[in-house]
Amino acid sequence: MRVHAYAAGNSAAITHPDADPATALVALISIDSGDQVFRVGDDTELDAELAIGELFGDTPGHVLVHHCRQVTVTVSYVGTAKTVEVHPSAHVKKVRKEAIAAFGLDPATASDLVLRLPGAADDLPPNSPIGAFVPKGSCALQLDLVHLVRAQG
Amino acid sequence: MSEADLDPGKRRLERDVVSPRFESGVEAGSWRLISLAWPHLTVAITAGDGHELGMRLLVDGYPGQAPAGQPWDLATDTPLPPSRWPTGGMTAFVFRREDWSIQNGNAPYLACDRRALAGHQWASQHPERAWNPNRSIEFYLEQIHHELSAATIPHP
Repeated sequence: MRVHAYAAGNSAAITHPDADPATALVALISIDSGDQVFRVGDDTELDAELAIGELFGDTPGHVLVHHCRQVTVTVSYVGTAKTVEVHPSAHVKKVRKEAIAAFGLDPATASDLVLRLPGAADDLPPNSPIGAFVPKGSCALQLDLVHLVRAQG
Repeated sequence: MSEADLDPGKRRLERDVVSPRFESGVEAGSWRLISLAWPHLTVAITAGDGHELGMRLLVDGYPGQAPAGQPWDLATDTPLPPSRWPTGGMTAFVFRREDWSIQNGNAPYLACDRRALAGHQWASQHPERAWNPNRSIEFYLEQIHHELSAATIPHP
């Protein structure tokens, strides 16, 4: 079975493509002092001593190893900034939704908004855990909320 | 081993549909893989109302060529009639019944799609939304999923 493991400050997951379901999760990931292991999209801590087959069943596992219990995300949008607090395992799309709510934007205005790292040209992957973009040693992140320019004509 | 099995595009796509970014979309409920019958990939993409839009993507030449997608009826394995295309949100800009999509293989009017990309300068004008050979299939799915975020899928 496959296990995709994200870590703080590394947006690219490491994939274990053909792990034995009886393998303990801890054997596949690197855990430093102070780190906890979470299922992506779920703020419940996983017991990394358990077998991956027990943790994930027949489906691929998605885990995040992270040092934060909460991440402070400062989101900039048209010259103003708002702060949202999220769990590091939260999907980027959840952060986007909370940021849109924090700015009080209506759905029509918000539908073309995406999150990007400051100055970046590419959108953050909506299904990645936000903690993967938070560098080791920090529990804060700055993001831009930007309108996509629709290709027309 | 068949000729299709040797196609580098097929082998690359088979790797990409088990990548972290593709499978994270499956795990998060954004999309799911229905079938890969080279050179067609069939997927279901979740819309804002929680219902799914089936899409069939022609993926020959992947990833050098952009996927060429169209709404697909997963039950009958046939093109989805325009009356059942998504509505609401931004979908009027994307699934253009009247003036573009139907004349262009039912393609979405997006810079990630092969048919829409052809004949426009979007690769240079909108590189952040355009397909390029460094993209992977999840980019296409993320674009469609985003466009469907406020959409409704009509029921038959």
